[in-house]
Amino acid sequence: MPSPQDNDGRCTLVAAPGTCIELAPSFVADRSSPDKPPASLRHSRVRATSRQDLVAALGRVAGGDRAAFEMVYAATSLKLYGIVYRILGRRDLADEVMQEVYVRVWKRAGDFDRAGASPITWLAAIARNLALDEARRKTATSIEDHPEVLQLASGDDPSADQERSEELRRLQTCLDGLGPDRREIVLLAYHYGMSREEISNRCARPVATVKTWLRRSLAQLKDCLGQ
Amino acid sequence: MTEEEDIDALAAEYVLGSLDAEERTAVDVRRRSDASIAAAIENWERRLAPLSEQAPGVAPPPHMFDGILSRISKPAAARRTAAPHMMLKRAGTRGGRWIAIGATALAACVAVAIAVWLTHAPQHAPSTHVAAMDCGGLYKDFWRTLDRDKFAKISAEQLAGVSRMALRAYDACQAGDEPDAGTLFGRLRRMQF
Repeated sequence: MPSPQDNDGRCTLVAAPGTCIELAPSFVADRSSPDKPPASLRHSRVRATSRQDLVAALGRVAGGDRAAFEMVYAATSLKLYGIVYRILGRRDLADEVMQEVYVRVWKRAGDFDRAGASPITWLAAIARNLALDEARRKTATSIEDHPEVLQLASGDDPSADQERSEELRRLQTCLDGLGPDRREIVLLAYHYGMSREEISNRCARPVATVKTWLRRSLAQLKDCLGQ
Repeated sequence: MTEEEDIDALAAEYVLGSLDAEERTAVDVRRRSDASIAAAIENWERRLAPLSEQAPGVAPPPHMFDGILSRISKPAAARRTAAPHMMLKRAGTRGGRWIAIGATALAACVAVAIAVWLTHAPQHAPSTHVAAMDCGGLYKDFWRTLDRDKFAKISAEQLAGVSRMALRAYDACQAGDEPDAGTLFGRLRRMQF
């Protein structure tokens, strides 16, 4: 175990095996992981479909158009399954939640606000919420039991950096401003659905400290983003 | 911290995913009737959404879409015949009042409601798929494995989650989606309280 030290409220995590920082290198240091999943499981991004196409397709799905529904699935299932699988860490659970995600999309496509969020933001929110609900149920296994999930790298496509959105770059800049330890816990929660308690165990910090850090970090992010 | 800041912090953690099951459920309930927290959640979903761009694409199983189509293609009649929905909805409403008094009382209340349904289920159970899969039998078998002591030990939120999953399994079975029903009933059997 590392021996973290508090310095003015900040935690200095020693980058040794078992620490937060070592567990998710691709999200902390934003570099490719040496342990990639099998090629058959990796896809770099949502299948090429424009935002306008997705918005239009969701409109048709709301009217019961199955061809449009299939198009939405084809365009987004890789990304959404990646989100769900990373949070749940188990194929069987991810499969169940994915079915629920698209059943919900089918039923609630009419709720999508064309003037509001982007379609992928709306879809990702549905996927994340259902995956997080499942992860909080007692039957979901701990992510600790599935270290392979932590090795799914986001940076496995050399062109990914160039294609990241301006919004993501802004957010990353703000995340960098949190410092490595707090950035880490924010990303552990977002990408892996870790609760305060799980983060506490992972980082050898009291739950109350993790809560304080999370809330301060999120407030700082909000200020930084200016939204 | 002002009330507005508190709501925003709660919404932020909800979207981030760091709340525990109880807090998550509480926010889920609150957002339905509290426009301020619902708006705060939407704002945080938008703020953090770019992070989803970092999620690695992972191919779902090839049969996934067929399973989804099967679920959205359920005949309306099959949905209407899912009598347990009505029974447990009533149990849920009644339980909502008991939550204020105590989760233990709610658990006992729901147990009684389920017991009543178990008594009458055979009359409501449609027979379309019974030959291949005894939907009512599987559903009842699961609830029979839970005694009053077990009900008393689990939280209202856990009980609601279990009930939802059991109903999903029953509905899938009634709709003839045996793989889905088998998976869900299997998970229910493996649950430990």
